Amino acid sequence: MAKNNSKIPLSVVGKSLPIKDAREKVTGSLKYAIDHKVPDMAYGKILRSPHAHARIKGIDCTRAEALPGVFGVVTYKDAPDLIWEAHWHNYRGHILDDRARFVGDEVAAVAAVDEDIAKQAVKLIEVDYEILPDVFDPEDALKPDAPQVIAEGNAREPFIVSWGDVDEGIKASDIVAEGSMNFESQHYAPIGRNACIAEWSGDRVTMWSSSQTPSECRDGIAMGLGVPLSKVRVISMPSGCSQGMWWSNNFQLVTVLLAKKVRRPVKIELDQRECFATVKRRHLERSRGRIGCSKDGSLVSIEVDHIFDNGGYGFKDDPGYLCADMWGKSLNGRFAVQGVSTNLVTAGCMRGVGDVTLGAFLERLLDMAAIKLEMDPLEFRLKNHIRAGDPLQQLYNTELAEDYQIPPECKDKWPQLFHLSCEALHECLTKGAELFGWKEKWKGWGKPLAVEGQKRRAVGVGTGTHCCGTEEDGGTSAIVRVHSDGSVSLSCSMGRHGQGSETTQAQIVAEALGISPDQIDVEAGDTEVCPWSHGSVASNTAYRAGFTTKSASMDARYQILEIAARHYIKGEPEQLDIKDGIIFHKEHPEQNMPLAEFMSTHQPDTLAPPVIIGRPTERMPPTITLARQFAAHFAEVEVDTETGQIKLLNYLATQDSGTMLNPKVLENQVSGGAIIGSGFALVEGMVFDEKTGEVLNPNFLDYKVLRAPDFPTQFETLFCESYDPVGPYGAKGAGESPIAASIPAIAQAVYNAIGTWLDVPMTPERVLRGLGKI
Amino acid sequence: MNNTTFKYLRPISPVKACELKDKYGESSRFWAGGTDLLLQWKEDVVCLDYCIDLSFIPDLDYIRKDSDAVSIGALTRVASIETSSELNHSLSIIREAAGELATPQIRNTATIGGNICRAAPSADMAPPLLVLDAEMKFVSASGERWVAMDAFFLDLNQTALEENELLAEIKVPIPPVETASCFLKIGRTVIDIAIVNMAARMTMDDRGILTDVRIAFGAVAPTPLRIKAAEEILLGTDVSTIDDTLVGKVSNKVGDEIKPITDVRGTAEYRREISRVLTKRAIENIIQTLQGRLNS
Ligand SMILES: Cc1cc2nc3c(=O)[nH]c(=O)nc-3n(C[C@H](O)[C@H](O)[C@H](O)COP(=O)(O)OP(=O)(O)OC[C@H]3O[C@@H](n4cnc5c(N)ncnc54)[C@H](O)[C@@H]3O)c2cc1C
Repeated sequence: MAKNNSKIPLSVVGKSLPIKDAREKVTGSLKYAIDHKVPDMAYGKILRSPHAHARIKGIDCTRAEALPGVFGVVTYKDAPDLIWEAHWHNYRGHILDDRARFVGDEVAAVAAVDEDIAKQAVKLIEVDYEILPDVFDPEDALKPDAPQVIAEGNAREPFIVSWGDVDEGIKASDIVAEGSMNFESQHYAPIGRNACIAEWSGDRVTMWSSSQTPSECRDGIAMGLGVPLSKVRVISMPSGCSQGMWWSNNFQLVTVLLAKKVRRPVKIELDQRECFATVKRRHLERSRGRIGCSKDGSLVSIEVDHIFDNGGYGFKDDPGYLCADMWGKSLNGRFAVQGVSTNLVTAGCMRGVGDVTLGAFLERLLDMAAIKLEMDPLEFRLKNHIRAGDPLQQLYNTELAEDYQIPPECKDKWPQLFHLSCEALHECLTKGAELFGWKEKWKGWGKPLAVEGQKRRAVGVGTGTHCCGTEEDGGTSAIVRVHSDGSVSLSCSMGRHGQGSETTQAQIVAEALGISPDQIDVEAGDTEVCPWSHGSVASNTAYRAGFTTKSASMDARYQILEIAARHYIKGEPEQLDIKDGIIFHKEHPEQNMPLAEFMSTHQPDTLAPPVIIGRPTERMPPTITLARQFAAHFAEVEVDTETGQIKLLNYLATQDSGTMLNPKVLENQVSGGAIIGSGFALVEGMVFDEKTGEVLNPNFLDYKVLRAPDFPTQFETLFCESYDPVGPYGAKGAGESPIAASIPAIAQAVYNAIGTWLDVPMTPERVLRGLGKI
Repeated sequence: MNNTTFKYLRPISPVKACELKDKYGESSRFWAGGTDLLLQWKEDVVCLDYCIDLSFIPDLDYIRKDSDAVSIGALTRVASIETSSELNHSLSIIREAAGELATPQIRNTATIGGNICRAAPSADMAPPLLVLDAEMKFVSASGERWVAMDAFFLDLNQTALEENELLAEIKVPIPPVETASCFLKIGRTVIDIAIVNMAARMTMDDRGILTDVRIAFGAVAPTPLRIKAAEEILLGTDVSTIDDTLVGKVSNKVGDEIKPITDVRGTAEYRREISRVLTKRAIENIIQTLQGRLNS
């Protein structure tokens, strides 16, 4: 593979095919979990804690159970004494225990003939709480006498990466800058609500819900209930925009437990308040640090201390700050990241986790240094960003890198690990600057492009990065089955949250097998059919699932060619090929056979048509150690210095995701990332009650996201392709770098307009405070 | 806790509606567009055992203009107001406020009466109606009465309507020609409930002396309200002599008079600051128009 980085002509990959479920979506016929029903289904409702931190001394369900129409109630007494942990430490805890750790935490659940009765019954459950001291601020929660939210203690082991010596680096620097930055908690703001339906049959359970991670969902249920994996079947349904929210969530396990107890299928549907206030959110984060550079603008030292809160049940120690790699040219570096539990609703991964926040802070440090050097931020970035072949410092400086040996048989195939495989960020920055008119618009640090009365216009540029999937919890797999009529089923565990993965994966199968993409159907959600995979997280799908999908397709292809060469077309399998659904001899194309005919013809030796089931046969290198996706955004803003309002006037998002599998799908990812990233930059933030930690804006009226009229009509995307030696046909991930580049670009533009740096979101109020007006 | 269902009643005249209200009292509610009511009911804020739907009563949805006033039926949809050609000149601020209220979907359903009767401090239709001296027609089973807009809002979510009365019409007098008005709203995003909204209206005589000044604000006190102390500063002044100092004085007066709170949309300090800014902008806008007229 390492040698194969030339582009081969492609017939299906690279085409903007419409997404597979587009018609169902626009006609409203696509079924989400909330639409799903099974016969004899009961409806569940969850009783939630009114207290931030409490112990359940007593719980009396007799009145609820006595209400006509109620099938049963579960409390912690019904839950196994088992801790389950969701994907990437996004939840760690019992399904139910005798503690409430935030306002809205699950305490009990009722199943009844309809939702109204379930709601009434929930109110009849009598709980005797012992109120415990609570803590909401992450720094307070680290203090030795702080109330302990979870048995493991509030503080996670700090995650530290360092190279060189930052103190020496600072001493050796010509200029030094220091700064800090605070981030409110962004919410996924899902437009679609989620539901879970669980049905037991004997000792096996089937669960329907919307999830980006069907396999992990199944594992979580098995872990929480203490049953073998083979007893659990998850059928994941499309989720709509998810951003990392719907993975495996505890309400799903509560549903499974409740269905078991009442011995009938149960559906629990979350309302909007529950979606916003009881599931998950982006961490509250705080960064401090310093940076040192030499006179010519080379990075000498970067040091960052970063703290983030996990809320009630998050258990993360490392929010995935791949941005450290981005500026790894720095001679010295130290990144210390600290997770901490609080009595706020659980926090976990949201799109671009770590890179959106810590990445934005790093960019701020860069800007602060560039100000002192009086250097154009574009030039500064071009000089310092990571290039292909450079070490990925974050991993390069762990023991893993030292211990890790490339297997001998992969020596020729794998690229150099712990070094960046490829990159077109440089091109993104230079071509983007040209398209945006950076040279004309950049007027110097703190200098607006134009001033009209109280309004100031200015520009900014920022970058973002993320991995292309990781292998933390296991490998990724796929199965390709070719049917007797030549049509194909791909089974690959993925999310269906609007990112179009079924379509891009089908394109990969079509390319590899030489058939038309509409001959291919994709099953992404049924764990009984799909082999294990991380699912659609960490920008995994195009890259890692794509790799296995391609490998499984190539395996199926080889099986076909092998049988064809044996019986029908004289030659070696290597001399045969498939194109447009026809198997043929490359040198004698007149020797050919349509795939459909081949698949339905009885072979002379087996007296049956062939059975073709492709599985991945190639070993995938640890992709976190080589591939990164990149974004560079350019923003022009107008700041009203009297009202503090910031308006986006012009926005350009450039992107390096390697080969474009499907340009339209990619554009969708990039523009979505830019809008949601800009939303966080400008308005999005959860509001917590100071005394109880309760979420005060659990709906779209109170929690604002950017909508069409908030985003500039002058919005463009530009793609610069690099070629990754591992990704399918050179493709890389795309979901998470675009959301990371907005805050840096907008914050810098705002700085140039008004001369101060702001915390995130940069609300009008923060603008006026920054200007000293309030 | 609320029942999960309600009885649905569909009266065919205002009087019949009021009779139903007399009968069921506090367990019943008038339903106009339902955009507020449905949410309030779902959130257990109001009791709605009996839903009295007003939307089938004929002739409560109209915008009529005669020589001295424009009358708007209480059940008129916000979307109809937004596009009404009757609401022109200085009455166009009613249209502008309607155009900034929520989304097209909500505007197609929400009514002007519902917006006012809900009596939210941030109700977008309130400031324009306050500065235009609107009159409200109340109907009950026993008759009707007129109440000035200025006396309509009593307290947070509380109006001068008696339990058994409904709002039938809003009558907006057409101001003299030498009048200019302005509506301003600030939200967190383009579509949002106001952090602050406001309207101002000024009328001058033929020498350019301000004979009538109205400034009203929303979302800065328990109810939408006129800031009379600020109006008085401007009253009787000559539009050609209004300078920054005077404008600053009026703005500061507004800042002193309002009683904003901190909520998810903004802090009290921010509301106070932008109330001053909006006052300044509204006065400058109006004075510019009036000075233009004086000079032409
Ligand atoms: C997503 C969303 C966004 C919104 N954005 C805005 C916004 O930007 N600005 C804004 O101002 N509002 C906004 N609102 C609030 C709401 O839409 C308006 O207040 C609307 O005008 C209410 O009208 P309605 O006809 O739906 O009232 P309803 O909900 O039917 O009634 C509201 C209240 O008034 C009473 N009532 C209604 N009509 C009468 C009558 N004729 N006589 C006596 N009592 C009556 C009802 O009993 C009820 O108590 C928003 C609401 C939503 C859901």
